[in-house]
Order: sequence, then structure tokens, then C-alpha cells
Amino acid sequence: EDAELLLKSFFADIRDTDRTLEVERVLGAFKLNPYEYLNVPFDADDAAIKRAFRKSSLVIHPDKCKHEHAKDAFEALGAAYKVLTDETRKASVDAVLNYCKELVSKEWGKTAAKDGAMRMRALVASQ
Amino acid sequence: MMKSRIQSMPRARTAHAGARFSSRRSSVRARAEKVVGIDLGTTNSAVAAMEGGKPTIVTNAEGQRTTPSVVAYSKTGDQLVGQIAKRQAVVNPENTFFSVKRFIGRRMEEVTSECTQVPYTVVRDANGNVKIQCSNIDKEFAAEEISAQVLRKLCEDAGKFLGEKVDKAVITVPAYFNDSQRQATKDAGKIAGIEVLRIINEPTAASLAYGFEKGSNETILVFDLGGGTFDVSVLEVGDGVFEVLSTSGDTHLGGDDFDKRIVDFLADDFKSAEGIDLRTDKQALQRLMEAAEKTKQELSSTTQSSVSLPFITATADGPKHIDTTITRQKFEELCADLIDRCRIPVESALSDAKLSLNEINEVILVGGSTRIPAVQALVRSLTGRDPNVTVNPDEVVALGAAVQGGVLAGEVSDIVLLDVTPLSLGLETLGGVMTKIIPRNTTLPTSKSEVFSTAADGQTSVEINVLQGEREMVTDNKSLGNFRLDGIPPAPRGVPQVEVKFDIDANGILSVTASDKGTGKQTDIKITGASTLSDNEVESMMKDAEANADADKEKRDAIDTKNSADSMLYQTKKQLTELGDKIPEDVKSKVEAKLGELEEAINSDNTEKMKAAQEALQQEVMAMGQSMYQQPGADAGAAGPGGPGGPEGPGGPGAGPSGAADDVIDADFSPSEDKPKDK
Repeated sequence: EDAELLLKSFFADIRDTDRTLEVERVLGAFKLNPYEYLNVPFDADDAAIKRAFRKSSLVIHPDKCKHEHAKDAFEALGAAYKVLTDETRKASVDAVLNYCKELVSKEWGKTAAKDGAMRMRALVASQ
Repeated sequence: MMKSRIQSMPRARTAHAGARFSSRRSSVRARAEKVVGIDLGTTNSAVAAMEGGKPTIVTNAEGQRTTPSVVAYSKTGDQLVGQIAKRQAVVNPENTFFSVKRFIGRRMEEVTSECTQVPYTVVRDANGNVKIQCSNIDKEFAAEEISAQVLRKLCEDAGKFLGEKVDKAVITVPAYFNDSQRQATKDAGKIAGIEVLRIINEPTAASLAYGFEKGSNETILVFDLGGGTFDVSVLEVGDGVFEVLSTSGDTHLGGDDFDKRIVDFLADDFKSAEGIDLRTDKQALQRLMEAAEKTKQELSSTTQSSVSLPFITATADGPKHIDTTITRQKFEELCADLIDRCRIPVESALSDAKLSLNEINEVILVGGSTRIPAVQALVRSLTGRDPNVTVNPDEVVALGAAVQGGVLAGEVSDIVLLDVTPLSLGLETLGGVMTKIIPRNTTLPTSKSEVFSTAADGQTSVEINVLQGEREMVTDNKSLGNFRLDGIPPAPRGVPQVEVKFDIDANGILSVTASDKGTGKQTDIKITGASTLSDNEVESMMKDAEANADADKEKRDAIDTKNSADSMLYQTKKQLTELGDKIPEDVKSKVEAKLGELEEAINSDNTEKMKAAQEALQQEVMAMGQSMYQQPGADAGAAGPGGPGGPEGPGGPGAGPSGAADDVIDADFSPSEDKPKDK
């Protein structure tokens, strides 16, 4: 009986740790990137976004998670989900993100132009 | 289905350990406190609890699965709750309170039509809130107190059924209830001495119970037509997440309104025939209402129903009766506009969810009024499909509340409910216009901050009128009260910045906090004009209710003791005469002495004395039984009544004769001294 209880509290601890980590991950996500809140790739489809939202909700919803910032994390997650399920808002976020990506790759291109080894590596990677 | 999903989380880490852990789960959980789910209905209430991982309905003390939400005070001031209160409604219409849910958390001006529909007296208190007058004990009750009495009975009965004290509950409310009504329901729980873990919406609860074991991914529409309210919710269920997409409803539409139509029809008919308006006679009105409810229910299964109310009133010509027949068609004609009103919330819920009807996988009917064939036909015509009838419309809400109780207690691990706020929250701005700050159908919990400033130099307080509703103008919406922010340091106008945070928790209840942005100090908030009770009022009502409950318990104990003493007196006397001279004289005199003591205690009506005398008599009766066996030549017939009668005491009036009957047969086959062991 004691062993069972011990095992039970052990699993509860693991779950609580998972919950804490997920809350911290959500709260640490970059404010302007809803994809990061939901922990999905940029090309995720609607079904994948929904799945990710549900999975995370089960972990960090204040009903299940006793973390003191669980409510804030859940609100942030919900807001991100709302953006990604609203077509027009998703389109504008995607536009901003693509613009940023372009900027970064241009920047990278500039540095890589002077570096033969880096260019070679990119070439190999693309093949 | 659900079982395997419950296990899947731990199994992902260590397969066999996870499985073993969950197989022992029930025994470990048995020690945890029970959380019950309560469906506090307008006309009927139900209670459920998680038993062995599944939600189960808890029957009440009378053995019924639902309890009428009725509280009454008899002429002697006794409090009656549930079925017994409902049964005496006809003879005590002014002190029998039903459909109280229609008044909870409301201001007087919101319920003018409801007031005329009930035979008891509803008055307005100093704050403009609703109070219910009880003439028999000369007291004015808040609707919360009446609901609290129902809740108290439900929990006490559940405690008896489950064998443990029940003081934690999840209570359901109509999804379209506003903040005040939710707060008032929560207060009712507090007054009843229950910790309300969560207020959840009825249609959401129904979907929980429905989807709990299915575990499939689908979009469902819940159509909940109860005794007094109508709700529609659209939900998406999948991967253990129950996400409400939209909610709509009508808090003034329910089974009571259908009854009212029949009552009006019968009363108008009678008036034109006899010239008497039965609605002014409270007793006649109560009888009419009961007959109307019965007729409505019958018309769900038959095409016509007869209404027979003999001696409904009397004139100089003699007694008058109602004896008529109502067909289903007539009933549908009477209620056509009510049934048609159900259409609007369905349409608005779907448009809010941005879904079309063919994207709905299942339509679930909840609430007793969905048994009406015309309502089912409407749902069929609206949705183009047959509604799901696998759930019991009276019980499913309580079952769902129990599931949510299990979630909150950690008993159910792989389900989460994401509900929404049914009404937009807003503030009064210039020109009496409402500015929305949290739109309806926002997932809960949610919060929103707004910064306020002063309009005049040196102003030290700001008043905010918080509103709930969908209309443009302030006057058309429900005011949740005036929130006054005090203690703003004097400064030129527009300089102070007070940040006010509006928080709607998972119960759908608003809380407001304010802080000065300059100093970071919390600002005091005073609320006026709310239609809920203040904390002090709740506190004093709670004490009141507890005192009453203790007094009731004492009274009940006294009655029980007297009854058992009476029965013991009778039983023992009967035995003495039956056994007659077979009892030794010394034993007999001892028993008779104790009998005298008990009789005296009963006559003096002293509970403590009765208990003591009963105890003493019990001892003597046992001794008497023993002496019967020790007597040489004691035959089986004599030993029979003495033996079982002794230890069982007053409990078994049937024990004597049946024991004797057994003995007649047994005596032929087995030796009499073995008997006590067999028994």
C-alpha cells in the first residue's frame, strides 16, 4: 500500500514537473510569434495547430495545473490560438514573419558571401 | 475507451508501472473527499458523484433520482424540502416556494412578469433586490437562502447515500446566466455550508457527460430547454478537450412558460363560462398549475389528455368543476410562439461559432421540456437531423457536473473543459453607451486591463459602471454594479492613471482589482447597486441556516426517539402478555419496572430520559430472553419470540410472528438449543 502511494506521488510529481515546464515554456515564448506559443512549425496546418492547442491546454489549464502563473500561460496560449485560427490575423502574422525571415536570410547572405566555407556548407545542405 | 486513455499518460514513461498504478487507483482515491455534481434546476434538482471512475446519479432520502426544488414552511413553522414540500403545495400555496431560480441574483425590475406567475409573495427590499415573503414564520428570504435549503438537503442525502460527508460541490447554472446570477448561486452554496468548487454551465456539463465515454472527435450542439431557462451551446470535443465555441440562450423561457399557457387557457375558459377568474384564488391557481404540468407531460406521449379538477371553486349556485380535454394540437397551438422563440438562440449560437448546420455532428437534447414532440420537431427541422436521445435529459447535467468535480479533484486526469463567457462585459462611457471590453464567447479564464483617469482637478475617486449584455445602450444591459475607486492622490485632471483589471474566472464570475499606475498601490473598490448579497449578508445567512439545521436535527432526533420508545413499549408489553407465566416472576417484575420508567419518560416528553430508559429496558428484555432458555422444559415455541425479540429490541415488529412461524417447521428437524446460532 505504501509502495503504491509512493509510486502515485512519484507520478504526480513527474506530471507537476511537466506542467511547470510547459507553463514556463509558454510564458517564455517570443511575444510576437504565436507559432512559438503553440510549439508548432511555421507551416503547420489547422489540424496540427488545433492538436497542439489541445495538448498544451490539457497540461497548463488552471483546473489541472497548480502553477501560480498557469492562468497567465493559458491566457497567452489561448490568445495565440485565436490569432492562428483567424484567417486574416494569421495572414498578417505570416506576412510579418516572412518579411523577418527574408531580412535574416539577406543578412546571412551578406556574411556568407565573404566566407567560402560557409557557402560551401549551405550548398551541401541544400543538396 | 476512456480507461485506456487515462492510462496512456503514465504508460508513456513506464509501461507496466503505469498500468499497475491505475489498477490500484480506485482504492487510493477512496480516501479522497467526495466532490458531488449538483444540477440545481428550476423545478427539479439532481446530484451525481464519481463512483468507480464513472459518474453515477445519487438517489435522495426518498429513493428518487431527482428532487423537486421546492421549499415550504408549514403552519407550525416546520421546514419542508423536496417532494414533501411539493406535495403540500395545494394546501399551503403562500408558503411553498418553487421556481426560485427565476429570482436568484435578479433585481425587482427584471422579474415583474415572473412575480405574477407564482402564488407566493415576492417583495422588493431596500436595495431593489428580490425578497420572498413567508407568512408562516414571518420572515423575508433572499432567493439564495431558499436555494441554499434545497442544496443542503441534496448534500445531506448524498452524504447518506455515499456514506461520507459531502461538503464540496460543482453546481450547474444555465449557460446564459449573467455574473450576478452566478455569484448568487455560489452564495447559495456558501449559505448551505458547501464549498462550491466551480459553477459550470448546464449544456457544457451535458456535453461532458455525453463525451466522457465516447472519446471521439466531433462538433456537437446542446439544446437545453429546462424548467425555466433555455440554452444552446456549440462545442468541439476531441483529444479530451471540451471546447465551447459559442453559447446563446433565453433566461425567460422554459417548461414553466408552457404550463402557464395551459393555466391561462383553462382559466380564461372558466372565466368566460362562469365569470370567475381562478388566477386570483391562490389555491385554485396552485391546483391549475399542477394539473397543467401533468397535462403537458401526458401530451408528450399521448395525443390528448383530460383535465379534471372537481370543486375548483364555489359560487352561490354551488361548487364548480373543471372537466375538459386538451389535445396535443391545441397545446402546440397555445405554445406556438414559445416554441418558435427557441429558434433564435440556435441560429445565433451557430453564427457565433462560424459553423453551418451540416458541420454539426450531433445534437443533444437536455432538460425535461425537450420531451415535448413539438420541440423535438423544431430541432429536427432546424438541424435537419434526428437529435441524439441516448442521454437522459433529466440526469445528464448532474452527471456532467460530477465529471467536472472529478477533474477538479484530480480523479479524472485527461479531460479539460474550456468554457466561454456568454455575455459581453463592458463599461458605461459618455452618452450612456456601453463600450465592450471582453466580448461574448471569450474562452475562460480571461482578463483585461483598462486605464482610467480623472475628469476634474483634484478628483480623488472614479466611478465605473460595469455592464453585461449585448445591447448598445447602457439602460438595455444588466448593470453589475458601480465600482468606486477611492484614494486617488489629488492631481490635475487626466494625470492620475488607475489601471483596472477585469478578471472573469472559470466560474464566469467577474472580479475587479485596481491599482494606481504612478504609485503601484492597490486602490480601494466599493461596489454599490449590485443585485447580489454582500459578504456580510452571506455570512449572517450562513450562521442562520446552520442554527436552523441544528434545531431541525434536534427536532428530528426527538421525534425518532419518541417513535422508537413508543414502539418498544408496545412490543415489550405484547411479549409480556404473550409469554405470560412462562417468565420467572423476578425477571417479569424487573421488566415491568423498567417499562414504567420508559412510559413515564415518554409522557414527560424528555428525549434524554427516553434514550436512557430505552437502554435500560433493552437490558432487561435481553435478560428475559436469556432466562427463557435456561428454564427447564422451555419449548421452541416459547423461545422463538423471546430470542430474536431481545437483541433486536423495538426494531422488529415482524420479528416475533415470523420467528414463531419458522420455529414451527424447524422444531421437527433440529434441536432447539441450536437455534440461536442459526439465526
